[in-house]
Amino acid sequence: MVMLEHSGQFLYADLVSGGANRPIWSRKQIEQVIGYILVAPLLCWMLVVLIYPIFSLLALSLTNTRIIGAPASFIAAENYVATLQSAPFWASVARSLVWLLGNIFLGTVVALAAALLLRQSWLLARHARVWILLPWVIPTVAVSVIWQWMLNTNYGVINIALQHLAITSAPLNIFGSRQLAMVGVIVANTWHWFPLSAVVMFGAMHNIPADLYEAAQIDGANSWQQFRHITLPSIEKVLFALGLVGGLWTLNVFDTIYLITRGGPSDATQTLPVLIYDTAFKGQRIGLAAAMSVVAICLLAALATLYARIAAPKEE
Amino acid sequence: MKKLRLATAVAAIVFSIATPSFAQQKTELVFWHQESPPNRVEAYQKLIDKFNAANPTIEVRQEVQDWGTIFQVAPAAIGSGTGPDILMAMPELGTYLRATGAVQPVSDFVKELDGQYHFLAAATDPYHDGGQYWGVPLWGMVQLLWYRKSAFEEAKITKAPATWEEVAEDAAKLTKGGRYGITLPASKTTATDQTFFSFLKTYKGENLFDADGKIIFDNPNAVRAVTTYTDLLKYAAPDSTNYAWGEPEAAFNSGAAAMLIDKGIMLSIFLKDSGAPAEDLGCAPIPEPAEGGQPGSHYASNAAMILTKDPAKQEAAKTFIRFLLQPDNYGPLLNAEPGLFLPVTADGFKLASWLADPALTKWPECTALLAKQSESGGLYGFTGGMYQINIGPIAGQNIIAQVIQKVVIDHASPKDAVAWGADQMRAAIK
Amino acid sequence: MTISPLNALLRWVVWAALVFLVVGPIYWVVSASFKETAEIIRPVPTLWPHRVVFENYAYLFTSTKYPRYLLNSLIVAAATMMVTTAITTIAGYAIYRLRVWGADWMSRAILLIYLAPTTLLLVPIYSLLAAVGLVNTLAGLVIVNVAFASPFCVWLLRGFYEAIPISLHEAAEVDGAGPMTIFWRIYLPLLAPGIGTIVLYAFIYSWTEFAFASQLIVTDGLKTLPMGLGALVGSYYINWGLLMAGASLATLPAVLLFAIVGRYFVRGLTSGAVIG
Repeated sequence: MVMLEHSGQFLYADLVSGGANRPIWSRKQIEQVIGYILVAPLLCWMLVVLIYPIFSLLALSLTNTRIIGAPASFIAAENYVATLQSAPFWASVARSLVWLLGNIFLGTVVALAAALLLRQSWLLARHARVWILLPWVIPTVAVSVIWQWMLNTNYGVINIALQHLAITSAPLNIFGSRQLAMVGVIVANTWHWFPLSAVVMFGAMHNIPADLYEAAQIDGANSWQQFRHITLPSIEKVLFALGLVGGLWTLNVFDTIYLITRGGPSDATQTLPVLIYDTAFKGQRIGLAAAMSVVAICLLAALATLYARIAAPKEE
Repeated sequence: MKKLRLATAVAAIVFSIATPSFAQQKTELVFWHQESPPNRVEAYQKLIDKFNAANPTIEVRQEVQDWGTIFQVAPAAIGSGTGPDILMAMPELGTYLRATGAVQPVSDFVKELDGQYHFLAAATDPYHDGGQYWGVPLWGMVQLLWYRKSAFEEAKITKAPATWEEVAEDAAKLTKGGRYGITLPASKTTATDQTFFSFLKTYKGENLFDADGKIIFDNPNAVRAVTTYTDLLKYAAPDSTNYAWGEPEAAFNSGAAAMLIDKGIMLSIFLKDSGAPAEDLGCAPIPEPAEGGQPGSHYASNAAMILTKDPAKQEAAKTFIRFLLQPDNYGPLLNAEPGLFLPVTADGFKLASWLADPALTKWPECTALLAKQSESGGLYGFTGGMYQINIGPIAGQNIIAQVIQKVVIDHASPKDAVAWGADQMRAAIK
Repeated sequence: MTISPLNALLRWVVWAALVFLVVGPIYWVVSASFKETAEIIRPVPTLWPHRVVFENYAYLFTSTKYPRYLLNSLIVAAATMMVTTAITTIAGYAIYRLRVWGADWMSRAILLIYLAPTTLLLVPIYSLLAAVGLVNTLAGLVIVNVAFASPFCVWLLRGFYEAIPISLHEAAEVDGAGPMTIFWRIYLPLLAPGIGTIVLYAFIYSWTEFAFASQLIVTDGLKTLPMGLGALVGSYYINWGLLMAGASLATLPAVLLFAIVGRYFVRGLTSGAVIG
């Protein structure tokens, strides 16, 4: 057997050949061992940095901790009872759903439209494939500054444009009114995130064989029909996964909302993460906030399962 | 080779950042404050440099924190041993930090300094609890009514309003042609809490708690104050409901509003941000109701709290605080933002090093007014010599501001909104 | 195929809308950063600065530690990028090609990490890092960023691994190559576009991260750019010009990075057949 320079190979060759040219471990077994060594760093990382803290959260949720470091005592399920009976909690669950649906709807429509444009082959489209990502590479803090600024009632450029175009007669009080505030933060968040979805969708579309479209054209299918029967089914899996990951990301968005509206006005944009933050650090009830987080995880898990049941594309 | 050099460079940078300097045998003091605007940081650095040069055995280092996150960062940092030795706190933050057990009593020290400079009671009271002082006040902030004289002339108003009724009349006259009569925050922020508290105090509704610590916010005076505030909001820009710090000022300076209730910061920023001449800025005491009122304003003193348990560091911290209050240094400390930071000692108001700042000499009558208004100032939770340790979650959740929002956004009656607010406060301190 | 004039017009309108949507807001802030404060807060805004001033930038550089924040952000982002790429690439190999026992389960569960609410994980993660002395260090920040960036990277890698024909793997096996040799010799070169994609994703994740940075770092000299920008929204007062300059500068380095390597990110996504 040839000596290979790589140590992994050496180990492998050694083990497989054994002393009497008879494998001690089968190839599969060795692959399993090496595989576990390779996957271990990631798994350990996740266990230590994410899973363990989730369990500490669970412990915290059974105490009446108000401030980090202050003495607290065990109060069993009291925080959970309080959470489940809390009207503000369920109100913010409802707002989270509005936030989720708004973002998914707006985000998907804009991203899909952008992805279709990116598929064109002329110069601008080819460059746009990269430059469209600009809003995504901007720090969230800057995104919130930009949109607070643009949607400002007094000197915001959007309000002035709307008035000039005679679409509105008076400036819209976007972050100061109940309904519009939610729309405003959804727009800002969509602006930040749609580029990534658009490029991922474009990537999926890019790999649809061109002959599918040629065949459809010969059959006389119009653009809509081509989109409906070729494009959409081909990117169905990507859309599903984007919906799942994007949905979870969206539900856990905190900084964009908090930096723009702090959950206001009058709690109109207080989604679950904002409520949890306010409860923990402004209301000084970390234990209660931990219980809210645990309930939130359960709700999210239920929602994700439901989504997977309903929306998962069928395996062919 | 190139790669190696790059790697070495990166390693060197990481190393230099990660390793603390442990060369000298100096007492190191970490000083936290939340005054992040660069001009303030610069002013403090100058004082710190001067102190470090004069005290070779002590090394003070400032670390700038953020008012927005300090409530979560400070307890966590204290708990993990990365907290500061001295922290500049507002009274609400002070109550919060005391729960961590790290705040050291400084009664003798406060008495010593009081004998020297004579603290205002309004400044020290919010740090006095259980027979002990828990912080050394260094500066105070108070609100006044600010107005644009040119706008008043244009509307043929000859004098600044003295009552809330007059404010409403004037605001009505001033509101026209894209200009609003007044700018008032109605957002869920501390800015709203503070501005509304000035109203509450003049309506004699300043006590959120009774002497036993029970919430008594639902009283007729508070309802009157909410009524006045929300009525005035009709003459304010509609986006007041989402104002952050700086936005009421921006509306006033841009000429979009003619009146403003705000701290002395106007003296620092008016000329640059408005582009108008100094004569255009007028100031007046916080108005009072025509009947049954009292003078009043929101007044908050900021105090240095000593958080270190190490006696040597505690002594060093006191040396530093003494240094800051010395006449030569106190003026420059306050003038980190002229007008915003006011003396907390009787002697301080006469201090030449404070009064000499060009921003203050331009408006001597406003400077005097800020000093005078400080006397009638107060702060929620600390009125009448009370110390309500429970004010933390009430202030933290901006429940007072939420009462205003209940009326403006949800169209509740002032009476219902106040009742709702009192319930929220009771729930918050339960 | 001929395009009718109406279609051509429509195409231009739609493209103009997209360009406007992406570039408009950025232009607005960048142009404001060259205005004087009085001009920025003027009720009727100006499309172009009346007087172009650089004082906001000058002030930013002379009186804040912006250059230091920039360096810190770059260090954290670069480290996050390297560690994330390393651990997810090898893990992807184990999960998607070596098919370790439980691979299916892992590949599904990995995204479920995003169920966790970051807001309140602040508290336990902080305690965890405090226990090992990593609070207020850039390393601590890297550890957290890697954890949150990795799941999406593993998911992205799936498509890239599956696009590599299994026959190549089998042929190498027949030649007697072990799993690691196959990884180095066959997979790594073919994965290049995919790695380009996750490298940039991890970098950008770290670059834009705010919540953990603002909780974990308390020392001025260790702050990252988003925190430095957040601090410009001062108390009692906002220096609008400074804020606009800060926002523009927080954007610039990422834009430069994208100008240079952005196409690899997109090329990776288009060549690798991302599969759900």
